[in-house]
Amino acid sequence: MARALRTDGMRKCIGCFSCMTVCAAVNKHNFSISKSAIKIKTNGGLKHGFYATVCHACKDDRACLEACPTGALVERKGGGVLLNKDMCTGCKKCVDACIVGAVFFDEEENLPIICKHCGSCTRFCPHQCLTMEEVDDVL
Amino acid sequence: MVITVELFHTLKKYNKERFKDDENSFELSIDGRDEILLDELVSLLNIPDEEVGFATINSVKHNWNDPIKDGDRIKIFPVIIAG
Amino acid sequence: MFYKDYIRVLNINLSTGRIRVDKRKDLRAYLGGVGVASKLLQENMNPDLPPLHEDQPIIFAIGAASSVFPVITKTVAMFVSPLTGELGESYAGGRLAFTMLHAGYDAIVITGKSQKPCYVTVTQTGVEIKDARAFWGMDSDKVGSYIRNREHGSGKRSIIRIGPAGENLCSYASVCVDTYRHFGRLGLGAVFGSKLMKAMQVTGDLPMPIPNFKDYFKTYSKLYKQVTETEVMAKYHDAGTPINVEPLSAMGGLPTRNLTSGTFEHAENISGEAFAKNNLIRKMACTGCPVGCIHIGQFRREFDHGYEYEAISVGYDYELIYALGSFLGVDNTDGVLYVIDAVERNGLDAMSCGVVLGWACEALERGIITEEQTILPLKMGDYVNLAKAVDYIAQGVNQLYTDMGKGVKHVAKKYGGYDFGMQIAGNEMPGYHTGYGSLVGALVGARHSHLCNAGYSYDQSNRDKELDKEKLVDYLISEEIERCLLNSLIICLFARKVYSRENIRMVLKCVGLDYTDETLTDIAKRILRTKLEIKKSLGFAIQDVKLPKRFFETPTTTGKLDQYMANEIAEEYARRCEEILAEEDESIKEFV
Ligand code: SF4
Ligand code: SF4
Ligand code: SF4
Ligand code: SF4
Repeated sequence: MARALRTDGMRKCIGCFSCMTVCAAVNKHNFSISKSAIKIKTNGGLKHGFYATVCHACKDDRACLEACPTGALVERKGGGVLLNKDMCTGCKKCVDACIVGAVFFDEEENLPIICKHCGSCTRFCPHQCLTMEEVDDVL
Repeated sequence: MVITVELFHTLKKYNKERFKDDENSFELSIDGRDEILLDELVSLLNIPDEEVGFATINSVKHNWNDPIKDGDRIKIFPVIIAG
Repeated sequence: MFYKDYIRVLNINLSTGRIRVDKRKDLRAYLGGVGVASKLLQENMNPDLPPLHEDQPIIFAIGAASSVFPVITKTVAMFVSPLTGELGESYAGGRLAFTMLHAGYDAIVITGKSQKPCYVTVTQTGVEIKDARAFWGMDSDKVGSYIRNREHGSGKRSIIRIGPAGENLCSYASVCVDTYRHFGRLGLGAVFGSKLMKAMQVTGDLPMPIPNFKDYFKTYSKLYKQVTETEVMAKYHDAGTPINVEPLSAMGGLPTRNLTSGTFEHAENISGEAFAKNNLIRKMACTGCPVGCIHIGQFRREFDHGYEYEAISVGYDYELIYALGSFLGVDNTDGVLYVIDAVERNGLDAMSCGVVLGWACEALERGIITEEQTILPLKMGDYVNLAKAVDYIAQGVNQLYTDMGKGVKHVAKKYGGYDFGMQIAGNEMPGYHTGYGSLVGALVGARHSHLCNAGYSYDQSNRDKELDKEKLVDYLISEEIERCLLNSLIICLFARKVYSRENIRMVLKCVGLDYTDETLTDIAKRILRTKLEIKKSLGFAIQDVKLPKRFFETPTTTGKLDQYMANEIAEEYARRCEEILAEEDESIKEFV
């Protein structure tokens, strides 16, 4: 069965940024959290809680994929997309298309950053804000 | 002898089964004794020495080799650390 | 910088507007953090000038392994303290270390004085000194949100700022870091004020490739696991540091009502559990810390008649509850938060403020000062008036309040009541009255803090034993040295058990620094030596310190203390310091 990242526990988030550090390290071998596929943000200042922006693992209509003119994004089993780097031209159409704002852009590499639902971040979230959910294998 | 034991914070986990419901304390009966040292009680409760900060008997601070008697109420606190 | 053989120092001169970046290989001998900052302070300060002279510097430094390992979260600030006139050293968490790292600076040195109120922005692409005239007079919360709205830019940011107390040069004004953390102690806020510097924002998202990903991630995972499995994790995340309130009170070590007692009969009402039940709304962490010890509590305040209420949230922890709770006889959680809020808005150090107010309550009661001077009928437990008094201190509304803003030593010397103005070498006492360890520890500690050497911890574990002078001195000095090392990485002290020498070496190796234990000890000693040299050049001598009598009248956890004994221990410590100062630093050659 495929799995997908869920952010249902974000009310417990303490803003430690471990998830971002781990995502950038594991997937990009980089210390900079700007390379992370998940972003933890506040609603204007620390007095308000945290929320996470990350791919929702769309299943039926993947706006990012539809917007991609080169076919660099392909459907991922269980939702979301996978990036085929070689085919990407760095046009950023996917960035605009994702309505939850979950496609980020790596200017250095000229590539979009999209969560691949690998689950690394969930293993380093100290308060179970992030979890992996078993989902149907639908394409 | 029967005493009441109150454990604080992280020390609770060493005696999970002894606590009823939401209670903070439990009664402990020790057969065949009418006195037990504080030190002995700590080991009886399986609490590692380095985690114990200090203890009170009937709300008065005590030394580890002070005796506990029937009906006493013991509080055990974990060590204090600051950052 | 990771994997580099130099320390990258950003120099900002507020008088001339000149910015300079140095790559200092020689500073590697000091590892990072407090080591690098001490050396930079020593180079940049002028011992002959007063602490608030424009030529005195402010140094910020992050550690040798900041932000990329769990709970290595802190930034150190060093300066000449306007409160004690000697070594100023203070630590804050939040996001500052993280943003400095990603902006590409290991240390920032700020000198000079701006012509008009300014704030500084630091990014990976440049530094700017900007107009802050309209921000002058604002509380630290407000100025934080103005800067947040005004400044754009990518990456995470950290905003550090002062409130009115810093502008008015109160000797124990603090600098607020990202709303809930502070450079609290020893008056960095006043040094900001003296430079007409209201705030500094640091942003950064420099790409930083990890060359040895496998090793790094193995180490990260191991440490993460250790941290999240320690007691600290559960203990300080759940109820937070306030869980110390009750046990300390029960063991007679909780300074209460201006230290007339070590036990507070209402400790239960202001315990960690009580705050959790009544006020807790959120928990947070410094960037990179899975523990999350920061507790935010909310209370309701009527700001006008006719059911006009506002909900106010402030951070609380043990130190605040001690200083503004038990020390001032405030016996309920809302009341404590009420005073904390006043301290926060004005930007003062909570511990110093509480101790000064404790003196004022007692001095008024004894008729040493009059109600005409205090304006308010100040008394223990009356948190509404105590909070007003905090405003008055920050604003320096009259001579008495201005004097109170100079610290309890100053005000008690001037008006009387030296023996119940609870300071140690000019720094207001920390929240532990546990024995010789806590008292002498703070006296001999380089910055007179309970965190220099954790003397309270010695008292705790040796409570039933006879005092062994030698052993205590050994403990204090070796802890002080080891903490110089921890503070050069800069590890949050909650995680110090996890960061054994073995783990420290592993972490340093991951960022390109392969040192033996011996080298690390040499570095730690070198750092302490530098700090001791600074203290000496500023005229500090342990022998000159005169402790208020009350320390010896109110029994501690380990019983009543004896003044002569305390002095003896301190003198023995001083002798050891001389030894360290006299030692030849052979191993520094390895670095130059
Ligand atoms: S990146 Fe956005 S549009 Fe694409 S699958 Fe994820 S959530 Fe949907
Ligand atoms: S699931 Fe993987 S790719 Fe997605 S945010 Fe977490 S670590 Fe990054
Ligand atoms: S790891 Fe968890 S707690 Fe930490 S920032 Fe991410 S979601 Fe929040
Ligand atoms: S334990 Fe607390 S102070 Fe220390 S790093 Fe974590 S959140 Fe910050």
